[in-house]
Amino acid sequence: MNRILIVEDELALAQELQYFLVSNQYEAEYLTEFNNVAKQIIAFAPDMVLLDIQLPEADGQNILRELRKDSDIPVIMLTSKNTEMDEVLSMSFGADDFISKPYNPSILLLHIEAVLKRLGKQDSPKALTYKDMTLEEARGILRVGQMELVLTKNEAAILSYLLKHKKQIVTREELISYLWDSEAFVDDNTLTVNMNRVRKKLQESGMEDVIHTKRGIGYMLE
Amino acid sequence: MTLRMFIKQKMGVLCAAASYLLMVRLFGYACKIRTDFLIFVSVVPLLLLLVFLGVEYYRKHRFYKELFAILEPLDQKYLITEMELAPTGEEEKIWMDILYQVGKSMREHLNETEDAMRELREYIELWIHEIKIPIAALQLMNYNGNTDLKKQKVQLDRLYHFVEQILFYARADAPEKDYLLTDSNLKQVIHQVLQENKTLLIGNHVRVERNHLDVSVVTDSKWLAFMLGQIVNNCVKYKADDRNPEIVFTARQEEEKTVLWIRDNGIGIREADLGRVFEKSFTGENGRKQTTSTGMGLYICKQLCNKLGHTLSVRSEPGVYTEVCIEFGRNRFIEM
Repeated sequence: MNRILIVEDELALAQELQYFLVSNQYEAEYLTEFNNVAKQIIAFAPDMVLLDIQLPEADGQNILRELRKDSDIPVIMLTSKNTEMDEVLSMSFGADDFISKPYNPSILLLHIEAVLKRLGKQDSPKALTYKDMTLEEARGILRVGQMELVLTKNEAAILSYLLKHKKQIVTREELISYLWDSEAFVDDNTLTVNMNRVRKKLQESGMEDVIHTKRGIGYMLE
Repeated sequence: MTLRMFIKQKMGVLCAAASYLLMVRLFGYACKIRTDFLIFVSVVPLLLLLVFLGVEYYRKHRFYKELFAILEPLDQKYLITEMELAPTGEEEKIWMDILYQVGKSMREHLNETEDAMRELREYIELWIHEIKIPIAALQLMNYNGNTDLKKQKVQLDRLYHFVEQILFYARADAPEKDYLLTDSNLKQVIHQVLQENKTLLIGNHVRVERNHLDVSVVTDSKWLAFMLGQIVNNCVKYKADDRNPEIVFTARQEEEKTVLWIRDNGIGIREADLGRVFEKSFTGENGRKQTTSTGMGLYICKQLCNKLGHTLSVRSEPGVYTEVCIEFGRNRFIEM
């Protein structure tokens, strides 16, 4: 499990962020003292730091500069300043990424994953399995027994979301929202079409009736 | 003007007169000219000069006395040029004229500032009323223990939208440049905007179409994202009730520029209002039907576009569509 250190002086935000990261399979801690932040970070030795730009003792950019003298721990800057200039400045001080507040939580998660992946620190993604089938979302391949099925990006995303929420009702809006986060801006009709294709492909591979329609609510993988 | 000041000012003339007298004396001695004639050519011009100076002094003295008499009790000193004052000398006329022009430009400047202040105050007041709505909604939800997160999210997004708007309003009016022109990919910026407005767009079942967006333009991506956010919000705000809303983004690269069209199938804008949509606080016919129009979104977009050097325009057919068009120039300087 990757350890993430939150450096954020607004306690309410830090706590919510910790809760959010923990519920998304990360180990997360936050600092409560803001003296010698750079030293504290190094002592803590996390896999990644979420660093707020405005802190009570020193500003984030200086902390980052100090940190970069002895460490290359990945850092994502969090800030309410959102000018292009701040972003460029932070990146030039050695930040790995930059997100402005208020951040969309799932976008934050995607950024964290992307940075960890880029730096090769990501735990190998858990293969999503259900009965006989295994989904490799990144490659868009569904394995059923010996058979390999090629899925489109949208189909893979739909299936992956259903697999992550087994035995739960997933609403159409949830699915659309998830697809939008992965840059597939589908509408109701497109979702219906994609859903039918997923079903057809599953049917071809002998997995019939695994996705149930809950009329007026959504879908469920049983 | 005191006598001493006047004499000091006329010192040159007095010196010239003195040297004239001296020369007449020397010339008289040298040429043995008759003394009574010498006295005549010395005294007469001298007397004439004194009379002229005396008259000039009297007029100047009176003018400045009058000027100070008016200036002293005046509350707003810069209004002095508006007073009935007849300058006597040519020099005074020039100075009064200069003073008048200086005062006029100052008053114009003052008026502009006062107008801007008043507009800002009006906008802030309007803005506060607007932002109170989502706050009130959240307050009620909190009180009722409403746990419908989706509804809360809609209100949060509205709060965020308004806060962004006032931030960019401040930026649009500020003279300093806090933007950065870089190569930005239109697709990436639009994706970001769509994701930011996800709740609004999905909630309103908006169909989004994207055509040829994989082009890069020279812009400040943050500013562009804000502008597109305003435009997308307008698309939803002014959607037609009888059909599913859709937004079509289309980009085309031309020789000297890249053009981005954002077209919706909403209620459109009346022709009479079309020319005025970029005016400050203009809400038009549609704004009167909608209570949440501040008339600021497109105004701010226009200001930002002007700063960035983009061209912003709108076309529409009432009841059919509205199409916003942004033209990005090619900046060769940056390309190099």
